[in-house]
Amino acid sequence: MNNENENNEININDRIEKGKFYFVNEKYEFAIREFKEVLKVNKNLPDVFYNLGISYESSNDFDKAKENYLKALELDPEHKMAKDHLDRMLDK
Amino acid sequence: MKNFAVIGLGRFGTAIARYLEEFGGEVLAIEEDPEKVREYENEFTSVVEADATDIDALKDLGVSDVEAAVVSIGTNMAASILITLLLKELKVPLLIVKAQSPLHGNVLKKIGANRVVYPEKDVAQSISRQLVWPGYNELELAPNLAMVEISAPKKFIGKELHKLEIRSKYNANIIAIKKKKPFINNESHSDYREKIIAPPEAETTIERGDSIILVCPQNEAEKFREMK
Repeated sequence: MNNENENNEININDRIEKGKFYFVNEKYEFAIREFKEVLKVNKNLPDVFYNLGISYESSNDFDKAKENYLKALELDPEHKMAKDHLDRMLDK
Repeated sequence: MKNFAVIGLGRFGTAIARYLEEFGGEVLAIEEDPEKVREYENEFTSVVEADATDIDALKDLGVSDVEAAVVSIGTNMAASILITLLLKELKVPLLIVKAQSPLHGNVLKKIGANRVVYPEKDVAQSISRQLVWPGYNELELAPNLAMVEISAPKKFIGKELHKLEIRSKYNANIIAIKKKKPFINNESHSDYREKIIAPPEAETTIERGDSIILVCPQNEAEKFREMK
């Protein structure tokens, strides 16, 4: 059991790193796919919702970006990056 | 150095005074609430506790020598109108006055305010716009001339600017392209910086995630709103 959890954990971290790699290389669709896969396994990761949000924002899908920033903030009301990006979107 | 009077240190008045000083102006702030005067006395060039509906007080403070005055009186409409009249009488060259309602705004214009502003309405308009048309922004540059920011519509993506025929098809001129440059910050969070290309080359290619800033007649701006 422990082993399985550990494997999942590794898998999740790998996928997050992969998602970020795609993100910095402007492959937003691939980044979105990785972050969504992670959230299928664990929905309690505010950072991953934030990463999903910024990948959507970077591809100009502002409604989905907003949705995911709000989810990040629901899990972690102090998530500064999610807060800043949400403010910025409303403040334009 | 340019000097200005700001009357009323509520939220709007304080923000105006801060920006005026930040941009290198000198502010004479007039406020009747002694607590607010104490709060801001070290922040602006001069903060005075006085009743701005008293013309002698205004004269003594040298208000007639300022280049412009901003009247930012919160809820007391009568006071805001009276102060505007007095400033006009003192021949302040430029009067900018905050209004609470269109009726209030009309009165202010009739008695000589050069510009009437509705800060709450302006912010409300901008926030509502972002909620309904995220990624779209519009600024009136002159009557019937607007600067518009839009998210690159799908049909523009992968195309060079000159191939879009923006001028002939949309009666607009592109003045800048905003590109998002993703990076991972020091705390290993994903983020992006905006890179502005102004003016863009005819060969600049529009990519997914770009914003396009253009100038067009105001009545043509509408068609950019719904472009996806």
